[in-house]
Amino acid sequence: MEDMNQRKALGISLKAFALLMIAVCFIYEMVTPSVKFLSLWFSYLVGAVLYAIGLLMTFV
Amino acid sequence: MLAWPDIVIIIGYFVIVLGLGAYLTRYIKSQEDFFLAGRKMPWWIVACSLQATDIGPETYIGVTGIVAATGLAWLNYDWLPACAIPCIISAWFFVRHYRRSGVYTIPEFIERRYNAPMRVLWSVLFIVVRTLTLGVVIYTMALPLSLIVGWPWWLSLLVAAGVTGAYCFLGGLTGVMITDVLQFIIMTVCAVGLIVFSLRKVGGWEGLHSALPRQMFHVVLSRTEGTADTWWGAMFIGTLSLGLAYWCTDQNTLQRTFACRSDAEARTALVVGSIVKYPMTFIWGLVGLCAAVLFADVIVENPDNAMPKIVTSLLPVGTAGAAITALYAAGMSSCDSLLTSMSTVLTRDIYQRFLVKDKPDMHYVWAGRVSIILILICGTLFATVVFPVFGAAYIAWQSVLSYIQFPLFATLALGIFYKKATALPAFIGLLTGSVSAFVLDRFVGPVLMPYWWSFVWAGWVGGVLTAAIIICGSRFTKPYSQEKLMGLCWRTIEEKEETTKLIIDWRLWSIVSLIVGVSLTLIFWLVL
Repeated sequence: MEDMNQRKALGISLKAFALLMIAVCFIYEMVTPSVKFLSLWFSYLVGAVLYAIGLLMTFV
Repeated sequence: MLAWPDIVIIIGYFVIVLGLGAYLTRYIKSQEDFFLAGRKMPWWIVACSLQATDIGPETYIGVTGIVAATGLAWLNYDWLPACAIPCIISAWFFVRHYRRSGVYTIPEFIERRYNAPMRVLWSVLFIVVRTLTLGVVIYTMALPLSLIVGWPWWLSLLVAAGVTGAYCFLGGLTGVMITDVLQFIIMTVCAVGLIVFSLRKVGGWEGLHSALPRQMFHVVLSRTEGTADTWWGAMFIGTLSLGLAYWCTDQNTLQRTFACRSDAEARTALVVGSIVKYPMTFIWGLVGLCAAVLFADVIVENPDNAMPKIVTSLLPVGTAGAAITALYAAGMSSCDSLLTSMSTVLTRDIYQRFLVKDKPDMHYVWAGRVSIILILICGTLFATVVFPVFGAAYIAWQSVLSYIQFPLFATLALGIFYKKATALPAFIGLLTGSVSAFVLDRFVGPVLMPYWWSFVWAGWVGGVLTAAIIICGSRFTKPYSQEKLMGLCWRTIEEKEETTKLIIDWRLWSIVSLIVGVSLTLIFWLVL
């Protein structure tokens, strides 16, 4: 398995996990009346950082 | 209990990891692909994989718990004496010999250096010790699921073991190393998130420093300040034996360096990995100290509950799920390494060497896959008896290693550096040393020296005894020919130093690792 494929597989997995995290938190905020929009900002931040690392892995 | 988004994140992670394992199956076309990732891995993947393997649930849960109960001195297990120095020694003196001989496993190297019975003994000892270790890892991996998610114990155990087994089965070492890097990144990001919330809750560094006794922050303790396990002698001399054994002779670790593209990259991966370990384990230690302030009652009850408690109490929805995922990642990265290394030894050193020879390559790949399932079943069975027998998870893991690992190290180190060493004294020395270490730790040491005795001394005594038997016994046996030892022993062929790029210069990284380790030790001894 070549270096590029290793990084691509890693990058895609990381991005998938990050997107899942962001999507699930967003849906939770939408469907739970007691939770205000963007109150889970830290979880979005963690998701964004993971996505950025995944992006870097794929392209750098 | 976790909110539903957290549970979805955990399950989603399992699906992603399984998908990755299934995708990587297409690259498995030979034994070399399955057991050694085709020997095509770059140093950065190997470095991350080595440390993801070493930072297991016993670090995540065990170190956090034990630091919360006793202080930062336990970090020495992951800093200078038990990690950085052994990694540097391994990179400089051991890895080149293994790689040059082109072996898949350490027992294979042992057969070339000594003989076939030594290979069998080494393989059996390795499989027995590592099955016990696997049991501890599965136990600490299943613990958070049953505590936090609320699943029954048996279901947690099955999920934890099943998912890991599945992607090892599919992707072999390639799957294991790629998922290790994924797990390492998730662990690091979540660890930083965890420490931000924990420190904020205790009033920052100042609040933490003023709330706990001074010696909780020290990594160098006198015997009166610490315990038999944490005073400086046990930490800086005692743990060195565990570190040397783990980083210089353990198949579980070294299999990754065999998968590297070149010698220089393998050596760099070891040393860079030790540098990465400093901040990672410091974060877990700091979380443990925060837990000591915030949840003192939980720690008195069971230190292993410190980490699950801090995750569920402090982190927001989403991040809590990611942190539990990271906790799983830590467990899975250790569990997958154990599974692949044991299946490699079982297949290459027992099945292919003695039972079924000269079959097509894919036959042995499938034998490796079947052995993964068998090992997983044995490890899971052991996991159900770990806690009542040993207590805190971290102690359990280290105790099992200490009996047998240093005698193994002594046998291999003398095999490389003492040309006169022969098989029979090595065989007797290894058995005598391992049994002596067990007897000493369980029956003699705690009775004779209750104030000073720690399990780390058992390894030293066993190793020194093994070395003495090999050196004395080899004087009465016929030494091996120069041809047999060619390339296997130190200075038996002309060593040519490689000219490498600066980024993969392990000599430079070794200096960096030592400077960082000594500085941290001095700061956490004299300054804080």
